[in-house]
Amino acid sequence: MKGWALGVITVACTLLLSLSSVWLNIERMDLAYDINKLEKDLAGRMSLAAKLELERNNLLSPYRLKRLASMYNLEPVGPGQMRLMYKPEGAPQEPVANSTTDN
Amino acid sequence: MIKRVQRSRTEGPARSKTDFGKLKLVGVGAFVALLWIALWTRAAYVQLWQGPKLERMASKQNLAAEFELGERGRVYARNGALLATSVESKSVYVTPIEVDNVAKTAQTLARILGLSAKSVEHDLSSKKGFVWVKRQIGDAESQAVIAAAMPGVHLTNEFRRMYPNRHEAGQVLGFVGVDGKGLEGVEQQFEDRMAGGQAQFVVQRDASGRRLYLDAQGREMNIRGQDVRLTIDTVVQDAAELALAEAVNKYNGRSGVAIVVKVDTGEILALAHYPYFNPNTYSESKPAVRRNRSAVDIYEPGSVMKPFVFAAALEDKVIDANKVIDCENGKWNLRGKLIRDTHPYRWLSANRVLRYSSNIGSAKIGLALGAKPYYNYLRKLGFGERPGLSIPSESPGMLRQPKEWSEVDLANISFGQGVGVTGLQLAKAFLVLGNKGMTKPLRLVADPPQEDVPASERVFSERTVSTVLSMMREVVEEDGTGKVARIPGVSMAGKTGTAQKASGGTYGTGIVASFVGMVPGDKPEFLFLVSVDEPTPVSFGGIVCAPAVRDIAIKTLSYYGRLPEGKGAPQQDQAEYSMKEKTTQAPTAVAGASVPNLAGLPIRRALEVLGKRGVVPSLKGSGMVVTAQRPAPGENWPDTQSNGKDESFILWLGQGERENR
Repeated sequence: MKGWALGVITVACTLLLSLSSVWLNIERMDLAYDINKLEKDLAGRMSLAAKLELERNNLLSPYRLKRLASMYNLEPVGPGQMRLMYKPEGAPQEPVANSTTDN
Repeated sequence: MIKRVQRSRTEGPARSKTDFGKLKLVGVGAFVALLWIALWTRAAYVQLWQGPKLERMASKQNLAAEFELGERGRVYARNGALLATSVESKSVYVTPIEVDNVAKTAQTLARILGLSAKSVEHDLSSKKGFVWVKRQIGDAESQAVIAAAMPGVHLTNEFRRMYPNRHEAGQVLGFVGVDGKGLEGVEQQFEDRMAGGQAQFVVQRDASGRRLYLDAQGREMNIRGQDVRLTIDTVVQDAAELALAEAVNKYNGRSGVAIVVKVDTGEILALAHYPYFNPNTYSESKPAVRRNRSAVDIYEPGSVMKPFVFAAALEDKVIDANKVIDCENGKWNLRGKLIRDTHPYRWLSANRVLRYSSNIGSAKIGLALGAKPYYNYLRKLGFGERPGLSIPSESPGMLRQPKEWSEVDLANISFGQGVGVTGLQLAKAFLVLGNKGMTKPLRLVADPPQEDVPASERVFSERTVSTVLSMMREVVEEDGTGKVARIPGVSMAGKTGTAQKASGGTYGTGIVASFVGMVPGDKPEFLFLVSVDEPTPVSFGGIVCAPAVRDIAIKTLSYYGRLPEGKGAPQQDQAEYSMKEKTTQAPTAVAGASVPNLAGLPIRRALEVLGKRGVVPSLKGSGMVVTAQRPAPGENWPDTQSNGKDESFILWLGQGERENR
């Protein structure tokens, strides 16, 4: 009787483990497909981000800003025309343009 | 008895059946055992004997090794601007054997990619298994190719190098070939650092050929190239390029170089060349245009070298600032060689010799100093050796040994002829004067930091440097040759150069004009150098290059907040009036007791109005015209002096009329 019960348990466990193994394999494949899809998505977004950053830098490049400035008749400041409205602590060793708030 | 008979009746036939059944059982058992053994044998044969071979075959079917190339590192400017980056783009290739209709496919591809149909048809008719049609195409083109769905036409990903600032610092950056390898400039210099790595990993393919990543093998590696940060500032670089282009074009020069150096650190803020070179379209330019002339081209600098002979002579106490020198009325015969001055002078004090750039006076000072001492000073200043920026093909210039110098050679070298220098060498030498007589290495790359930086060495005493700078200030601030470079309210020390170009062993008509300026003139913070090759019809450095230095200096100083501030009420220029007329409301706002209505004003005018009250507003939105404000018009001014960070005064900006149009 004890041997019979042990046999049933063994068979049941084997069956369970086999089913688990099959289920895990299916899940693994599903996950692999999902990861693949997400990786492609990520690569696409990163590529787009790189292109947008390139475009942003192009729009902020001096030659673009100059073109925009000329639309408004803006020109570089000359001697005696500059007023520093906000001076950071100490002498500004770095360009004043870098110390303004980027809106 | 009956029982016994019955048992015997039942036992008899049962025994005979058992025997037969046993036989069958044994037979079945043997069959099963044989089958079992056969299966195990087969399994063992397949797994143990044929296993490795079959595994290899299976791997070929459903496993594949893939390569991934990392992105190339980026190049940044000191102000964070992106100078070079790589973006993913598609390249088109064909497998000719898979193409159905060659003529139709060729026509479609040629139309989409802007190629000649004939050349595409030639590609499609190739017997090769793989032919590139066009590499690194744009997004719109790749979408069109995908939409056309032509058999045998494929797309693959590649990285394309892009330079968002177009030609800015083009010769410094160099360029990258179609295969992603740096071929010139910083791209070549830092090829090992910036080049993307390569990762190999195994992927599993399913029945439809889709790739599934098995593990992270190779993908966890950082295969992206490392970035490089230059000391170049795009704003200063742009100012230098613009001023240089204007000088070269105005005086019909062949080419030009402009250099801006931050004196306290030796960092190069601008290294401009003209004609421009746009690395985005490098194949359209000639090699001569791509060359980094400031590091490669050697020229005889002429009078711009004179401050060094003065410094050396002062240091060795051969002269003092007041020593009077006979300038021979503009013509002096030295051992059969006639030395001339542009303007005739007779007796000039040493400072005036430099101010009026007398060749004869400088030659006499050089002769009094001697060849060996002057040579030693020139070597200490960095002439005759590479400036140490590791730019590809960096030139050491040309400085002969003093034992080879004749008296005439020494006289010539004293006023900058008979010696070959590069623009960078000249900038490095003047950096010594700007740095109180101590050497300082030039820097073009902030990251990675330079290794093996040479120790600073004293060349001239502070007293000598102070005297030379005082003489150079006279060149600009008095009636010297560099007075065109003068900036009101800014002290500048400068020196002009107008050097004859040697050609075929003799001096021809070609001239190199140059000007070096240092600002402020007493304690220099910035060093500016501009040189123009063969300007015509005017060729004087003080006329061709000094205005360019002035222009670059003004823009650099304003960028660094170093221009002298205006006093009194701001004067409105014509440009501002013309702008006011185009705004929807007249800019009548003044800083009175209550907050004025700033809506409709250009941002510049609004800032001036607020500035009078000491208020720095916080700006929101983008545009050039004020659209709304807080506090509202008529309200009281904020209690605290706003510095723009506490948002006690906010201006919302919007688009102006011009932009909307």
